[in-house]
Amino acid sequence: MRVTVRGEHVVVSGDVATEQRRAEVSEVIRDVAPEMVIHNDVRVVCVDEPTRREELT
Amino acid sequence: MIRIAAVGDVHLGEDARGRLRPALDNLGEHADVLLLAGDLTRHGSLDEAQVVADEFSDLPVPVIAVLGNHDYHSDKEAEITDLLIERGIQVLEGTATTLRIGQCSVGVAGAKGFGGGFAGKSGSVFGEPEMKAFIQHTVDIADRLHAALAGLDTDIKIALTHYSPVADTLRGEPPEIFPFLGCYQLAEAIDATGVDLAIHGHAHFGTEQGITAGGVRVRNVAQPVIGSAFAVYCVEGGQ
Ligand SMILES: [Fe+2]
Ligand SMILES: [Fe+2]
Repeated sequence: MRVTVRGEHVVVSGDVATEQRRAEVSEVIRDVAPEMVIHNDVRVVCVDEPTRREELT
Repeated sequence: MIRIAAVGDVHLGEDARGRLRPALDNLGEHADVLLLAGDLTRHGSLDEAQVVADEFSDLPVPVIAVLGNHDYHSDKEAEITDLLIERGIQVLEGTATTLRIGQCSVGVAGAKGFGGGFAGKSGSVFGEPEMKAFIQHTVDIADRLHAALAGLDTDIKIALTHYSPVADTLRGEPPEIFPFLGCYQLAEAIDATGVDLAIHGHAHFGTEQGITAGGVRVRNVAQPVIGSAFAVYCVEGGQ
């Protein structure tokens, strides 16, 4: 998880396993820094079957 | 051609139960073996490990794992290891296992690995006891990985770690934290023992592809990096 603070803006990025965990990130920041504007750029990681494979020769 | 599926840093917990299962149900169509590169849990609790065991047991291919730093967080690594083994998942720590896939023998040696850093920007066994203990842990694990790899006499040899053996696959992470993401001693073990492919996780912001000084391909399979349930690498069957 990456947290960047710019003035009163806080940007969080990174990947988490579920939508709930993504929401928790905003909740935690709101708790500790209620005055900050939160930009939650966290993504829910894709767990689809791979569409490619790599051949190592 | 051996098809190796790999993923790390799935960081499972009760809230994520079953998430990987739809993709894993078709694993047999993609791969001959599944490697798990550590950080299987969020905090290393037994409850989370139970979810991991449920997620990765009863798959159509063998599953081989190492633990990551998160799996050590609750000091339950031994119990987690036992639980996974009970459920048919092999857990390596300075050890190796071999399997036969068709005509080809495949050896996997694994260890968690540790930090310490890379060429010219690394710690050494010097100074305070805390610093000596840090790097001694690095050296001990790399030595055990080396021995496990050296003991393999298989067509294909794979090194499986949580921490990275190279800085290449850390690109995207802040350079300041590289010494906490891997160490060169792992690459030395890999380069000394004729490894065909090195798999690791841990660097969520890193990149997938790298190579050791000795020319061994390294792949960072942290789930945020590969962006899928698992990655698949095909390796030519030795000789
Ligand atoms: Fe991780
Ligand atoms: Fe990790």
